[in-house]
Amino acid sequence: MPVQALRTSVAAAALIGLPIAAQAAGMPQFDVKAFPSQIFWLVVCFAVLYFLMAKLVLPRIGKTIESREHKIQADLDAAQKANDAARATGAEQDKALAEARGQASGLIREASEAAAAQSSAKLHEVGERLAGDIAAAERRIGEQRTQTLAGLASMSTDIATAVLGKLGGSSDPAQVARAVDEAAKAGKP
Amino acid sequence: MASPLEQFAIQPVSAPLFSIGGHSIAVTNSALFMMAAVVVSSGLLLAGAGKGSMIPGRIQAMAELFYEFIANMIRDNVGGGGKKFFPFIFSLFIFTLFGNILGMIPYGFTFTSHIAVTFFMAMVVFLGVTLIGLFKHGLHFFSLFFPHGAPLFTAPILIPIELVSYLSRPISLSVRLFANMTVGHVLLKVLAGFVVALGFFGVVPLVVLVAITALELLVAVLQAYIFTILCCIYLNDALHLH
Repeated sequence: MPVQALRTSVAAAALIGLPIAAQAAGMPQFDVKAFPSQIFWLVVCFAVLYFLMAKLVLPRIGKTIESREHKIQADLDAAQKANDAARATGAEQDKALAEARGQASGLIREASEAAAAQSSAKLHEVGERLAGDIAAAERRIGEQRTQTLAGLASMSTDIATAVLGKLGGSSDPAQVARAVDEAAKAGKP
Repeated sequence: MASPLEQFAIQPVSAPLFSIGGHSIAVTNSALFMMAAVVVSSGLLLAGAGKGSMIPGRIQAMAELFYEFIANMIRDNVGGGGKKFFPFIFSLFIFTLFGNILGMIPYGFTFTSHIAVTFFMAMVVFLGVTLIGLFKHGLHFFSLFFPHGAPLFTAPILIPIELVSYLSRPISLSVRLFANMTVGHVLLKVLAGFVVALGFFGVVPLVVLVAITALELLVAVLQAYIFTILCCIYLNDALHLH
């Protein structure tokens, strides 16, 4: 910086020149007669300044800065507390939501299980009724068949007796029935 | 052309008020500027300290800036035990700073450009610090003059060196401030003389003068800072012995 360089060089020249100038022109700084007055006023003024600073200015500024720091700290603490509370509420909310979700899915499962049980019970019932109907029908069919078969044997005997009578042969009804019976048995596989 | 040293002349502005030990004391230009420094700085700082609102205004922010600046300086350079000297160090800084800055007012007077003032301040600090060290550490205080851990046979060399460097502290402290302020003002005066002497071409030294004025403002703040921080360092030495 040229300004600084200039200042330094002039300062150096002045410093070398000053003692000479002090002797030549009488530098006021080295006028010993002026010392006591300067020191007196220095002591008085500095004492006043010190008193004002120590008793009035500095305690007040110190208190202000301290109370501001307290306030900032208190605000930060409050903010931290509020944040924690909000976090806790959020966590509670999440827990409640998860619980509700669990309950809902349990309800759905129960309902679907109940529905499945009901429908299978109904199916079972219908199946049983149908099986009963089928069994009854089969029984009826079987009865009719035996009836029919029994009727068939007597009818065959009657027909054979009638045929034999027409043909003019002996017609011992017991003999004919036996022959028909044998024929029926032989006809079966 | 008036001598550039004329501005440093101490002139009474009142009749002698009284006399102490044969020296008559009158209000002088130097005394007026000391009073001005006290009034202006106290006025600003009292205004700044006055309301003490949570959100500081401009003046309060400035006052708090000064407070924090010196508080940090003491915390960093003196550490433990430095807090009780805070008002003194603070006053020292404010007094020097406002003395330097008010001296920058044209036709003003810079009381810090007088060796009597700076040397007295330096001597008070030096003697005070030495007494504090002696009271706190007793004879152990003299271990300050022998660096801890140095071989014993170096003592005949080291102790005189340390002693001389310790005793020259008030001289270097006071001469640094006095010489800086004196030289700055001599320089300004000489340049101002050129501005008048060169007529139209005086514009050139005028530009330089403006730049030097800015530089001198910086020097005014810087020298107040240096004076104060050196006092802190000396205090630290006395309190903690290196």
